[in-house]
Amino acid sequence: MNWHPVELHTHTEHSDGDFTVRQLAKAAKARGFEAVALTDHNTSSGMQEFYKAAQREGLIAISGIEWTTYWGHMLVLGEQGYTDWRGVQPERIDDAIANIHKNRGIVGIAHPFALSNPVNTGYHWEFQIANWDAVDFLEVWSRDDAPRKIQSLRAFGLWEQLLSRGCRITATSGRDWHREDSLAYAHTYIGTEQPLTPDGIVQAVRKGRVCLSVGPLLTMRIPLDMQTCAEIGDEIPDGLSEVEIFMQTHTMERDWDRAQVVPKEIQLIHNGLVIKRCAVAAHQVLRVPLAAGWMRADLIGEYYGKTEQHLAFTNPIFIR
Amino acid sequence: MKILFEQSYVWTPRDAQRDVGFAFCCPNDVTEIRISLSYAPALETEDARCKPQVEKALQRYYDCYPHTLQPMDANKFLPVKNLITLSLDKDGVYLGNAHRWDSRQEHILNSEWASRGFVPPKQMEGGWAGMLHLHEIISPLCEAQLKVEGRAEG
Repeated sequence: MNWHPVELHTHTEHSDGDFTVRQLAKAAKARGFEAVALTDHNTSSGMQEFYKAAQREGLIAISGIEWTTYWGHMLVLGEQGYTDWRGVQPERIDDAIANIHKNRGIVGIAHPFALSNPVNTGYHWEFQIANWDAVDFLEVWSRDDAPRKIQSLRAFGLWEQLLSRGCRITATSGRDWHREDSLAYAHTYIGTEQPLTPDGIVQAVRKGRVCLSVGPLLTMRIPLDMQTCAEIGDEIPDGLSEVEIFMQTHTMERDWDRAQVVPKEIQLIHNGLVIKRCAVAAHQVLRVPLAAGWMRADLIGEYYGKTEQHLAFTNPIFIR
Repeated sequence: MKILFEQSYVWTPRDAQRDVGFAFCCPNDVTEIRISLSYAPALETEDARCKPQVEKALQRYYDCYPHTLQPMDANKFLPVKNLITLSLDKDGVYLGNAHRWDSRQEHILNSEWASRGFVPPKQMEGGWAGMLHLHEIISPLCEAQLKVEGRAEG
């Protein structure tokens, strides 16, 4: 499995961003991203120009839009067609999501617990989702300084609650990138076996092959036999498992400060509980018994002077 | 320039989170339209009106978490802006939305080019529809003017 840094939430002057389309592509390349979704508010008018700009920079461009409604913001990626964001009432969001899926798109809830009206309009998620299984991803980390923000703790809590209810919803981070700055952001990594493509990225998000980090990349896998491994997002049978954990520090090196992001411990989280703690290492194998549910790996450490912070985490491997 | 549509509006906070539709017809000799939207005030400077609402938003943000985890001062978010955006359809096809904070907006569209936020329509002639999206009206009265002008060939 190869892991690629991507940014799934960006804006340009086609909505309220300061970036021109070309500036966004250049900034993404300079930071080290391999793919970027353009998700301007309620418009995809920048996409044609973005495809060209991304190609010039050697980036993969993902088509997107951020539904910017009174009841929440929803990222739509890879939709082939258009679903009208206007007039969707809070209790009818499931119908809209079904239509986006019909158009081969995926949906993610952006910054569900962000500071909202009257400061930021419609930022707090208020749509009443009947079927959470239909939501493909949840932006657990949003904007700068994500690990330390209350909105992240609340989003993380919602994500774990949904996982424990059996929903396979993928956690992502979103830079919600409007302009260039020197703040500290998290990164979303996409896992693929194949060369990176827009559709491959959309499918990887849907499948849960995603890791998040504000510094080193933490990934895991579970060897099933000599040839095959269960990867993040896969499902395995219950029982004793050997979890291989990898921590890679040479990643997105131009976009995080090693002096401020200090890994201290790796934890395995199984159905919401810490089942294993160990020191950080580039590669290690942990033997753990796993019951039905989900299991993920977390990297804990110091973040800009604050201890016991989430520095990185994987999406789960599911256990039947 | 021909005036294809013109309307004034007065909104109050009760109108916030409401869509206001408009429609106009573009005659066959019009090759370009200019849509002007302006509203005032752009922001509400009366702290006594804004601050309680910002504090309410902060309270909702914090929920049951201690404020010390992420201290924020309501004053930092003052003054509060009104936000009205405009979306457009032509022949039932969505052309886009100008989701920006400008209280004076001008959008130009012809069959080959469109201002940022919109894609050009296949043809100018025919029925157009649009919506004003009242994302935030915090001022007790917010007045707006919308005008659509068409530039005729020749």
